[in-house]
Amino acid sequence: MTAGMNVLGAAILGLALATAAPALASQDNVKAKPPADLSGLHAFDLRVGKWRVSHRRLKERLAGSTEWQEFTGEQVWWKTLDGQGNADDNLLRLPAGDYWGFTMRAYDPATGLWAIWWLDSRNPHGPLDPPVKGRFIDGVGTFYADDTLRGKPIKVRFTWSGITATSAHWEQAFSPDGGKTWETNWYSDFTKAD
Amino acid sequence: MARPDPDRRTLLALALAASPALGAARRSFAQDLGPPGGGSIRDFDFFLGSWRVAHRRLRKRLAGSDDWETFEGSTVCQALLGGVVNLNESLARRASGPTSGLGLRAYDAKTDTWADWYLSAADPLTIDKPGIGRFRDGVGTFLSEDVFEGRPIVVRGRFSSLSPDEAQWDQAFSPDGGKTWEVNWVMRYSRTA
Repeated sequence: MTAGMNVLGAAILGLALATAAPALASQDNVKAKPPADLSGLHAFDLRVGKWRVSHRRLKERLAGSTEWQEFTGEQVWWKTLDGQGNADDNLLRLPAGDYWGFTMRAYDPATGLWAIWWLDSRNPHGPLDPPVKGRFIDGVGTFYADDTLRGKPIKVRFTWSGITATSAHWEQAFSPDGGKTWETNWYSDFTKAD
Repeated sequence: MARPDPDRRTLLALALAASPALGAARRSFAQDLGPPGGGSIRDFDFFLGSWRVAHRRLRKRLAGSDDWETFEGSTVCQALLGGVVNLNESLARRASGPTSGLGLRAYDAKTDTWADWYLSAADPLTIDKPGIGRFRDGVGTFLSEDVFEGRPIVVRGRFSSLSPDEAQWDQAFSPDGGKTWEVNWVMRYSRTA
């Protein structure tokens, strides 16, 4: 798994939510709507554009490794879902060979959470779900999912921080013990390229 | 929150595989998809570009209904990841309000199949199991198992290019393991760019 991010257009979304109530088709399962939480909607806005990436990745995960691989990448990021989501196309220049990753993110105004999915070109039919889910607090976005590594349950954490118009930082960490301890296995630093 | 569009590819990944009838059906679907070997990352090239979309959507599914809702939309499709991914971003203007979504397809050369996922802005924290399929005689057929109103169903999505400037996608549900199908959504694409 790896990076992901988000963005977007509050006004349009607010309008959509405000007008979504009437005249739904009979089958549509309309639930009572809580007030929309748009507080996180724009958290990724500054990530739109083209980026150069400096990656530092732990060679073995949850194996006591201290051997790191450094490589570069390129990323293009754009908004989707009428401003309620975003996506990015990553080229990763791993020593073993280039590969691509695609990330989709969507914001849920009912919960204020972002969901982030990652698709790896080397395993294009790997399961997308579950996404990592989370929110930004004081400029740091933290996102979690349950996953498995070598057959054992782990927790996965993505962390976004330092998002500016020209830079951003991302980390991935795994926990083998339900979140008590974490091993960070990937750092990515982004520099604006356009 | 409102879910104006929960159904394009509804829910519940689980449950299904358990049924022996569906297991048998699944084998026949694999045959329906045709043999591997003829596909490539170019299969969705016909879909690249910008389109106006005329939707025709059955209001009640698997209920013998012939009451269709019609509405307009638009979509933009691009290839990503060197062609392994084909993504279309869509907006539909339904009477119930605008809905946006992402259709994501990824090609697996090992199996010569595409997976087809859909992310709806109305249900933004989950993505359903993909339909799996390939093209045969110009029609890309994607199948997945699902549950509709408590019943196991098979979902079929079909993509086809009608001309360089026209394409169609339709969705059908089968309540009987693939013996009979009810088409419940047709999207007719007209190229705008």
